[in-house]
Amino acid sequence: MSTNARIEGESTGLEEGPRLVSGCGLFIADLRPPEVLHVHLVRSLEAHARIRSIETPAASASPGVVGVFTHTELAFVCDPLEWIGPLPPNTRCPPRPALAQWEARFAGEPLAAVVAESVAEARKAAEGLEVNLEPLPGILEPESALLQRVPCVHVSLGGNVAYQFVVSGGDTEEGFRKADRVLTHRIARPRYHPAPLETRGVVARWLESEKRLEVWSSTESPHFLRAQLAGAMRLPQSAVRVFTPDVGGAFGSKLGATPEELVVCAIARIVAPRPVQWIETREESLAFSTQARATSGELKVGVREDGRLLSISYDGIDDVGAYLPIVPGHNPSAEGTLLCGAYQIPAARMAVTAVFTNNPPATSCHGAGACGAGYIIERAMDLVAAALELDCVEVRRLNLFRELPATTVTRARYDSGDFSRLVDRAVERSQYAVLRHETSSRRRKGELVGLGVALLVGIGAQGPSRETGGPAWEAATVHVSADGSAEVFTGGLACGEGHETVLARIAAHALGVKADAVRVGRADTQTMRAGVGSFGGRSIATTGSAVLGAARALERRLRGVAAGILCTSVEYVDRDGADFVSGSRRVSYRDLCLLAHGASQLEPGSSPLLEETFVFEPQGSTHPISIHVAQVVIDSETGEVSVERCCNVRDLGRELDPALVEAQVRGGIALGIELALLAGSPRGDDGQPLQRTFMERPVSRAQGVPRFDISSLPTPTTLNPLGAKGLGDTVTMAAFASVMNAVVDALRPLGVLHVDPPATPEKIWRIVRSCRGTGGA
Amino acid sequence: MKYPVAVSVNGRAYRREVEARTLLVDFLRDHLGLFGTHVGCETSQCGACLVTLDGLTLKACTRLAVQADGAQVTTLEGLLVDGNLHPVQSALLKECALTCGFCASGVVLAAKECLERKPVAGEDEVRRSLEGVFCRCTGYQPIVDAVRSLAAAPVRDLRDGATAEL
Repeated sequence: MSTNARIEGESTGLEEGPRLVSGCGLFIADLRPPEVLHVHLVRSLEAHARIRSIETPAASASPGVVGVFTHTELAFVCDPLEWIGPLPPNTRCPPRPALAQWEARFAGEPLAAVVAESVAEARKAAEGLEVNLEPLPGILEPESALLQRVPCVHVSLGGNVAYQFVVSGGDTEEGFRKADRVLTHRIARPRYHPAPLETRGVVARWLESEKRLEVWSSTESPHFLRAQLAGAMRLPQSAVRVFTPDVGGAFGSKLGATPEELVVCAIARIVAPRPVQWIETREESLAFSTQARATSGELKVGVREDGRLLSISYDGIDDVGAYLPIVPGHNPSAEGTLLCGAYQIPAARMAVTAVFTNNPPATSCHGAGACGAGYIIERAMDLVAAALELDCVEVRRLNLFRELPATTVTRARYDSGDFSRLVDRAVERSQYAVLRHETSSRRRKGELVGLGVALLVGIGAQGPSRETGGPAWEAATVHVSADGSAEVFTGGLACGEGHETVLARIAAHALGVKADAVRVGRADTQTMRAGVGSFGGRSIATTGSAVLGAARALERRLRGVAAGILCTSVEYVDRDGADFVSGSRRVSYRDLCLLAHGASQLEPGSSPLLEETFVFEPQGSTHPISIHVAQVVIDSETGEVSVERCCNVRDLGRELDPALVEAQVRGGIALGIELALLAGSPRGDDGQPLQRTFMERPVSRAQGVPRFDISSLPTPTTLNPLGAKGLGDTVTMAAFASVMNAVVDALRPLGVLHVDPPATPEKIWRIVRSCRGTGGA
Repeated sequence: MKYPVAVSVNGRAYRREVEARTLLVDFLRDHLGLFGTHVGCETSQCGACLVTLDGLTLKACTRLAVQADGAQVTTLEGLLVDGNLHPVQSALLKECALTCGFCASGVVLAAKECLERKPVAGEDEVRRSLEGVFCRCTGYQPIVDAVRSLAAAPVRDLRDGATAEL
């Protein structure tokens, strides 16, 4: 499977670029339908509480207020959100109410909605709302969720387990017995919010005469949202239309359906015909909306004296928060299959129990689950290197899969790539040997300098659907009008990755026209009737392949019409530029499109509608690869970690627009550094969020990141016709893991073997002080 | 109680009545319908609401609309000249320096201000001038490169996008 010619081109920049750079983007907060009403949500101040009463009269009488709603009022028009379709095995997903009914299950759960003519009036009125809560003991630490006689987050479930999975291959116990050394360590990653610059938002309008609901949402998955909202609103899916405007970043935090979206739809139905809008505040985004899961567990590695790994296991607990987020592609066990990373290890086992707690709901952000396993194996490699006093690159080389394709013992199949070459390239480009030497000499002068490496195998596009548990396919329709202009519709559209540009180019290439003849339609469930979404690293690999399939099918039809006009058979029709030719006869693309719309008259049985739809279903998951080398230095006075150097080499398969890929790769590295050094979403002992604004939530800034040396060694995948593996968050997690490894490396002279992220100045300062204190230095 | 505000935005005069508490950024968006200026954080961290007020580049969430009475304001939309992109905007596009585009209002105006203050800024100076704007997508490097590509072109007056003697 390969395309006839190159789709890659000189990067012409983003198709959507001029619109966005001149302030003409249309984001959810920019929508102002006439007569729109605004919603302010009143949220629980307790992590776990019984709702005694919510007194609304004072708020209802406040100026500008149209209505105040609690669970009681909304129950007339909506049911709680529930998982539609088959749940993954061993998974429990309790219904999630639009507004809490009896019980608040996390600090920030919506309890009431004030609807007013303006945001300011709604907020002001909310101050008059009397919420009477009776605090209850809660589960804030995931470890305590599994103890006997502890509160249940969902009493109806009779326990706090949300899901469990075990992925294993080979005999891990035998591996540990045969090993010369068995190393164990507890490792943990915190929950955090990925903080896209645009918060979430939704606008809804109920059309009573048509019994139809129109929803605009800053979502990553419009069709999935439509299905969930229709279910909860007791409407057929055909009566719900979801549009997605420009999305200002998502990183997994805008997947699926949330109570806020349901609240707005339910209120829109009540206050119809007036539309209703809710725009998330930064506080709501950072403190209360869907976060990345926290995870902690026991890592165990069995290794021979020569550095060969014989067995690895990880037994962990994930914290999914108060509700299992209802998201497409929920497939946590995919993470387990990647526990072996790039290495040939005879036995591996990953067992994870995910528990409900009284924290905000949490899901996979930054990587469709692959992040966790990649980080675990890359920490394991460094623990081995430290224990055996081997170089961390050497340990990796020793254990690498020599040749691909290969299948790990946990049944992840890597179809293409060359790990050794990637390592060689990273060593060469980063001048690893020089950096090692420099690190040693700076250490002798008393500096805390560290060098870290991580080789990440991620998941780009998942597939096939029968194995992933959720839909892995994507659909695309390509339509050509009588004047030759083409439109592309897909279910998976951009959240700021430049999809419009690349999808238009794919369609244009297959149709044999210039890219500016193709427009990519906005995400709209009515123009594209089925779709899955834009998340993980699936968009170009899966959505792009669907667009390619549809455009090719349409081009074949055009050739058929051309054959009729040129009085020949289709195999003798060639293309000359956009024109169709056969010998000396020729018909221009434009004329052909015009004639084809009357084709039913030309040829009996042919359709005048120049449109093809194609569904692409991947036959396996793609595995993008990224190796990252990072050098850090620690200020021992303040504990601050500075990243001095970053070198990244990637194999993301074929890159259709390298400049756009590079923009995302650099962004991914900056986020990876942020995850390693800054990002966490700490909560107090009472479950209260400690980060409510960007004053408390540090982010990567221009001065906080160095220049990144990035390069590519692509090997096309055979799993889709474009050869693209997808980007996903492989690069982010490689940067993250390598910076964490570098931080530990910097602290190794002090006897430190592991540091959990984030390596904040306070944490590092304490470590340095306690090590030096006890060491008598 | 409402207060009259007369302000020139992107060369066009507006007169509106606003509440005293109305922030300049909300005034631009809600009263004038200029949505190119974004609200990203509400606490003056992210820079998505940057505008130029009487020649000073500032975060529009730190000013009240009434404080802008009588002022000349330029927003991201106002940088277009006859529908053509400002050199800073073109340079950012050329370097693929924005992907989701939500930060454009901050990045473009911060970059423009940096170049106006210091036409040949070095890497560190450019990064320092971007300290007050967040970009979550690109890792800043393409933005820095875009600004520096303009710093290398000496005879360009970035104030109005026209070529001029420096």
